[in-house]
Amino acid sequence: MSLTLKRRFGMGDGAPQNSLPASLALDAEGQLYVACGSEVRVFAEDGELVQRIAIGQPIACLVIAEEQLWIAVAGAIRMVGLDGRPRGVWAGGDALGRVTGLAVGADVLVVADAAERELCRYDRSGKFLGALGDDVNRRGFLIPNGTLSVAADPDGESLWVAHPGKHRLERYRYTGEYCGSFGRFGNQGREDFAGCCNPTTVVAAPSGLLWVAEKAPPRVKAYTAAGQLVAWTDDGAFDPLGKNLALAADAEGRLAATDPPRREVCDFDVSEFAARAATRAPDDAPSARSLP
Amino acid sequence: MNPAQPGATRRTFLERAGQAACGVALAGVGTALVRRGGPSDAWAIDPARCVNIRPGVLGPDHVCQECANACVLALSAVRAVNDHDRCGRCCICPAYFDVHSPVGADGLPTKHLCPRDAITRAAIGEVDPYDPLNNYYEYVVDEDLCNGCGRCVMECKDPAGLGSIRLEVRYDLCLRCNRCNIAETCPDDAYLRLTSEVASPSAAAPLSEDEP
Repeated sequence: MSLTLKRRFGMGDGAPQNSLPASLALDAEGQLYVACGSEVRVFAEDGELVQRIAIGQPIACLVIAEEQLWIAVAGAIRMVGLDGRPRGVWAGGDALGRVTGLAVGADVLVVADAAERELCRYDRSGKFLGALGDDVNRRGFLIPNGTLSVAADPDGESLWVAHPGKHRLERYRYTGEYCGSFGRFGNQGREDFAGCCNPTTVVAAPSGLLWVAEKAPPRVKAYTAAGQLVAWTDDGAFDPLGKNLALAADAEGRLAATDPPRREVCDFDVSEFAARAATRAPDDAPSARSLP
Repeated sequence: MNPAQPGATRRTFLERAGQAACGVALAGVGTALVRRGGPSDAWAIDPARCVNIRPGVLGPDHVCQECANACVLALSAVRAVNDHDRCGRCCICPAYFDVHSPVGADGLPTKHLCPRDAITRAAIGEVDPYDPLNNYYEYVVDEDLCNGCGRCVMECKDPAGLGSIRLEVRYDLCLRCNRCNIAETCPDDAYLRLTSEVASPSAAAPLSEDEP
């Protein structure tokens, strides 16, 4: 079933490095946080710009966890309150690599390093605990698209990784254990991942749905944790030259996706799918405990 | 012919001399028409104009094959080349595979994109037998087979690929015709003559000593 586009809003006509929406996050109040250059722009649910949070460095990606923003910049991860007040800096230096994804667990922070094509586990003190998934992907993650996307599962115990070179989504526990995957290359049905390297982005909604973005052509699709396709965007929803779309989804049935060539953010109403996912039979929505 | 020879007339002599003069003139004009350019002249493809290379135009329906069809050589002097520094070494390369063909039991497309099978690939390092997708591949264009049709270039283009494959004029093969057939037919005026003034580095304006 195709998604309903609610609205689009632009990031202005400034220089590309200041108006390109690079990363998205939604909070529990329905506010949308957009990383644009060196600042975070906060939009109310109706699309009105309500706040600008200056970070001072170009933002690589951001997530919301534990009621604060976790913002990756070159060589550091900054913690910032949702009101814009700094809460701390974790300086990882060059060891962090080029961060394109973050997943915050109870005791573990997983950092996606696109430069080394690996997922790194750190404890809260910044101590490196080891790579994640290197036993399954002995040559690192295959990311010709240049970004490695990771998303925390709402169960709090596991995370999802978009592995575009293998055309699948992989699931791991924060402890490093590989839990399984779904997805395959194909071009006949919407449920397949087409092209050289898809999916490029993944977010796990509180409803349990996995939202993924693809490129060439750009589109967004929703899967259950078991790999069943339930929703997708219509052809032409995004600029055909767009790639590595950023996504954010909340519990209220809202999905936001970037349209990079147009420097816009698209807002979709996905409440219908979120409600269905919430009423799914328990055996259709496996928790990390029930995974193989 | 000497008009003094037996049987020769002034009229015959003038007739033969006129024919010879016309022949020399025609040969001169012909030579001038098909002469090659100067040693520094060359034809080149402007990547910002060529529909197969320039960003923004996608899909097999838009592939232009004039470089392959219009060149006077039996196998065009335009060939595809792979810039290995930019290549993603993808397992499922859209320039190598016809990604719209049916998927085989091995999970890969069953057909190759190139109609002349001019692109070959070799696994880099040892292939994981339990997970063949867990590998990188080196893609090489066989220049003896490639005719510059541009299909692979269109498929490798960003955002589907990384744009590592492009079309180039092979200067060791190009005849440097004065009136190039490809340039005459190129719908985007992307086939350009580089004159010696443009092509020669010595013709470029010298850098000032202050510039790095």
